Amino acid sequence: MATEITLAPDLWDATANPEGIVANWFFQEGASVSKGATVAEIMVEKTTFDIVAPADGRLHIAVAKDGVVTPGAVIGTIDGG
Amino acid sequence: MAAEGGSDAAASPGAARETAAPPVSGIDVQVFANAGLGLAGQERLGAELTADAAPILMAWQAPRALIAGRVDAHLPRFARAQEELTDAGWPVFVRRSGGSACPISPGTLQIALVRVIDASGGIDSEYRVLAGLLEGLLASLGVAAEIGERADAFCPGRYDMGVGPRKFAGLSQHWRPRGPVRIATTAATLIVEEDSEEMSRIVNLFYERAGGARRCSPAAVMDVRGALPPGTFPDGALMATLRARLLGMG
Repeated sequence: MATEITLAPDLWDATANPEGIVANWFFQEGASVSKGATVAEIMVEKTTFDIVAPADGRLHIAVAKDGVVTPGAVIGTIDGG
Repeated sequence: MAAEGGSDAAASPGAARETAAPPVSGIDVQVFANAGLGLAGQERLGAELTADAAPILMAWQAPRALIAGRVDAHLPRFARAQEELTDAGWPVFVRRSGGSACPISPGTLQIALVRVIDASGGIDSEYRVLAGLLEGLLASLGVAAEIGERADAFCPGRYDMGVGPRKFAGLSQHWRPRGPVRIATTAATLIVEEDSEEMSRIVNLFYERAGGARRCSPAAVMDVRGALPPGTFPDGALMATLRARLLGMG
């Protein structure tokens, strides 16, 4: 079963800053990750947000580094291990 | 990525003044042997703050260094630029908060405010809290800081602080989840007494050597001393005064 890595809808105020970017992925596509590990970093207006794995499993990246995102976006999934 | 340009109501000086400085449980001013240790200390505060803790304010100083953003570390010749700048006396460290490269030195003061954020908090409100604190600190010297991007300066952002077209402080943030809450570290570099030409030169050298497109102008940078009437503080007294007044906020 795949668990989505979803940016919280309230992560930032999209009326003030409509878009952010995926600044980093800290694991490669297909890597094994543990629940709670910081897997990605989003940057908005000189602010970085740590994004943690919601489950244990294998990481699949949906939005590549430098991709544009908005609050609530799914940036990847984790296949249950 | 949202453009960082332009002013808006959220970033106006008036909006910042409406935000009272938060109660802070601990204020510390430290001098580190290198900027990496300062960044690590700042990082540790964010990593260790518990969900029910009061805000913590940390100020620190270190020898000359260039503090790059994580995105800068992906530039094609980053490692080579890092070596070259280290040889030139500006070792390069990478920070967790956002933005681009910013030089620090014994003439700058790094200030970090670490706070627990509930669901109602946002990045603009966090920026306004630290900006308001810095406004108060500078106002105590008679400096009226204005908030707004100086697009030609290094590490530009909507919460640049300065006088007219030149900035003497820039703010950035790093947020991390902690159970039901988030921990926000809002960091500022305040240029107290430093040569804006040299600071801008080293930033431009870094991007040139690393293969980045960013460039900055010294005409968009100043120090706090430059905003004061000549002779207001003797050598060294301005930094000492700012440090003492920060400690007095506790």
